[in-house]
Parts: sequence; C-alpha cells; structure tokens
Amino acid sequence: MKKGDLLIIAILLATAALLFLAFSPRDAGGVAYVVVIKDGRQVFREPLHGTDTHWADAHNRVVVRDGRVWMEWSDCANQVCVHSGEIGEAGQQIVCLPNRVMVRIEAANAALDGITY
Amino acid sequence: MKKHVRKAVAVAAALACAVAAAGCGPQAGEERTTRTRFLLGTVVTLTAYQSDAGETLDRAFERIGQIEDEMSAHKPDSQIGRLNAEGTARLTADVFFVLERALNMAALSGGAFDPTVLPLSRLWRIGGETKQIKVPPADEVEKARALVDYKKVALDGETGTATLEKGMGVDMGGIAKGYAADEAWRIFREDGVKSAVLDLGGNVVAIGTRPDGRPWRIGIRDPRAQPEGAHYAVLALSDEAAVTSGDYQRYFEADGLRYHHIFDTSTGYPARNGVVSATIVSKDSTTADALSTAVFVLGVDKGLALVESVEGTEALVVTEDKKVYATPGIRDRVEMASTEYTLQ
Repeated sequence: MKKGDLLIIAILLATAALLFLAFSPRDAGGVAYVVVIKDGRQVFREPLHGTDTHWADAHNRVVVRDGRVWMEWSDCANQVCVHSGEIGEAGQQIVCLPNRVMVRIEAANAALDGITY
Repeated sequence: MKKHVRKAVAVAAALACAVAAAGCGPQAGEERTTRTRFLLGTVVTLTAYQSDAGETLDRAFERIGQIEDEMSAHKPDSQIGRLNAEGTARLTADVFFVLERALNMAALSGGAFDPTVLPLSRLWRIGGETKQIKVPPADEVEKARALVDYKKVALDGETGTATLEKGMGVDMGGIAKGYAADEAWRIFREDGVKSAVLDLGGNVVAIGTRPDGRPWRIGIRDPRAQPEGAHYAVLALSDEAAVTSGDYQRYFEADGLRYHHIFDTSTGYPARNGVVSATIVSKDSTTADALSTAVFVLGVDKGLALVESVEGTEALVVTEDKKVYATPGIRDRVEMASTEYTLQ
C-alpha cells in the first residue's frame, strides 16, 4: 500500500466519522421532550426519558416518570385531562381546556407531522 | 499522489453535500417557528418550517381570534350571539359568507350538517366545562329538534342581514374552525411560507411539503385508543386540509350507551349508525369541516356517495367494528398503522 492510499483512506474515514457524528440519532432528534404550555406560554420542557419530575401550578399537576407522562391532578370541573391516562410517544398530548394547559411530547424526527382528531 | 488526495477530498466533500442536500439531518427540522394558543374553544398550534415566521404566526392567530369573537355562539357579544338573542342581526361580510356557506352545505347534505343545531346542543350540553350525565326527556328532545331547520334561516344579501324564526339558534361550531383554518392558510400563503402544519383542535392543514420535499405524514386518531394520540392510519398530504369528526371527542355514557356531540337532526339524538370516525381531505378546510359532520351523520354508504359528488374531496370512515371505508381517490395515500383496523 502506498502512502498516498493511506492518506485517501484516512480522509474518507474522517469524513465518514464526521458525518456519523453530525447525523447520529442523538442529534437527529431521537431525544423526546415533555413540553407544558399554559396560556400559550411554554412553562416546562424536560427530556421524557431518564427524568422523574413534575410540573405544577395552583390548578394542575403533571408527572413525568420512566418515559411516561400523566395529569395527576386538576381542579377543573370535567376532569377530562386526568382521565386522559398516560402518554409516552412523540405527538401525543393531554389537554386541560378549562385551565388552558397542554402537555405534549415533542421530538424533532417524530414519525408524524400532525394528527387529525 | 497529490492528485489522489485531491480526488479523495472531492469525494468526501461531495458525500457531505449529498447528505446535507438530502435533508436527512436535524438541520431540516430545526429551522421552525411554532406556537400554541387556546382559541375557538380548543388548542391551536401553528408550525412553520422556517426560522423567521413569527409575524406570520401572529397574524394568523389574530385572525383566528377575530373569527372566534365574531362567530362564537357562546359569546353573547359575537355577531352569532346577537343573532341568536335577537332573532335577527346585520352581519359583517365574512360572517355572512360563512353562514351562507354553512346553509349551502346543509342543503347539499340534506340537513345532515345543519348550522341551526343550537337548540339541540344547548339541551344536551355535551362536552361543556361541567359534566353532563343525563339524557334529556324525550319530549324536550322533540321540542328542540323541531326548532332545527336550516331552510328557515332568511339571508338578505343586500343588507347583510340574517333572520331566524322564533326559538331557533345558529351554532357555527361545525364550520368556523374549518373557516379559521382556511383563513390562516391564506395568511401563510400570502407570506410565502412553503412548509407548514396548522392544527386547529384536530383540523389539520398541511401546507406545501415537508422541508425535505416529501408529503406531510398526518395521522388519523384511533377512535378507540386510550390515551389520546395513537393513530390508526397515516395520510400523505400536500397542500390539503384534513378534518375528522368522531364520537370520542365529547361524550358521556349512560346505561351503557355513548352520547356524543354530533346530532342526527332528524331524531334529535346523537347520530347512531355505526360510524365512530369520519375524516375528510380537501383543498378547502371549510368544506371538509362541514362534510365531516355530514358524513358522520349519514353513515358509510350515503356519506361516501356525498363526498364523491363533491369535487376534490376524499373521505375515510371508521365503523364500530373497526372497518375502514375510503373513497377511491385517497386509497393510495393511506398507510394503515394499526392491525386492529382493516381497510375495506
């Protein structure tokens, strides 16, 4: 093998490595986030996985644990949000209309661009 | 040797460019502007796949808020609120236009979609902020049903006046979201946004294509899945609106029966013909909104026949036994996403 061949191989390998890093799953949006929006403002954003946390105000309490998210408590009259159950996939959401709170799971490379319901 | 090195660099650079151009990287998805507001009694999320679309989003939200203020039957000060309270009202051009379209859709569907459904929705109060759990007495249902008739709305195009008969009421809930989506769509188009998804409480508009040039992938909610968000099929859409009516959106259960918010105006009771979800795809969200209600009420056969008679519209209907019926024009753009459902 010539010295030049080695150099060519090295350049191609380096490029491949760089491309791999640039487009690795982590950077390509594989990480999902739990987002809470209240009155149109984002009030909470944490990774879905590896988190044991919650968001709460005087009217609602959202729990994030082991890759699952649910509305633990709400002071609204219809309790639709509490009965929505758990979510854990990008694109899913829980809404509390009376208190104007929305919880959704976001990921840059989600399988869907929207859901009609 | 140097020549070879230059060649290798060129190959590497070409490779990098190809990957970047293919848009498979995060760059394609990260350049976006997205905002959520609570409007029209639901959640509205507008997302433009470009970084500088803030003003477009603001203008669209403002227009949607304006439509809510004009057309909400729950707001006594709205034009529709005044029409219902006083029996007659002068309407601004756009409210008149939407009411006229609603009445046309009512005529087209033989009243399966009917904007004068308010006496029924008021009586049943399904999906309000307080929990309704009672079925109203049959005589009250009949009294309310008798007040529902789109043919009794008088429109005067010269003065822009609408007049109702005594006791009647207009509820634009089955069409205003669709119109608001069309108006937001117009604003995005005027501002030259080439790639965006609008979601007005489940009324979706897929503008242009994804940033990578492929059609948008829009799921249709699985009508029987808990939690919300699971989907039974995926549609490939481009410059199209999709609207779904389902029995799972607002309902209560009594004596083992589900009472949802879409009324059969010929009986006064929630429509019960085996349909649990009806999705309409169209270039026009206002049409899609009204048709989704009409198809839900008409059932599979009459519903699909109606959709096929309207140019540029397609439909997918799900029945209780998890069968999916589709118009021919949409079949090759449907990807089933749940093994529980079978496309007929």
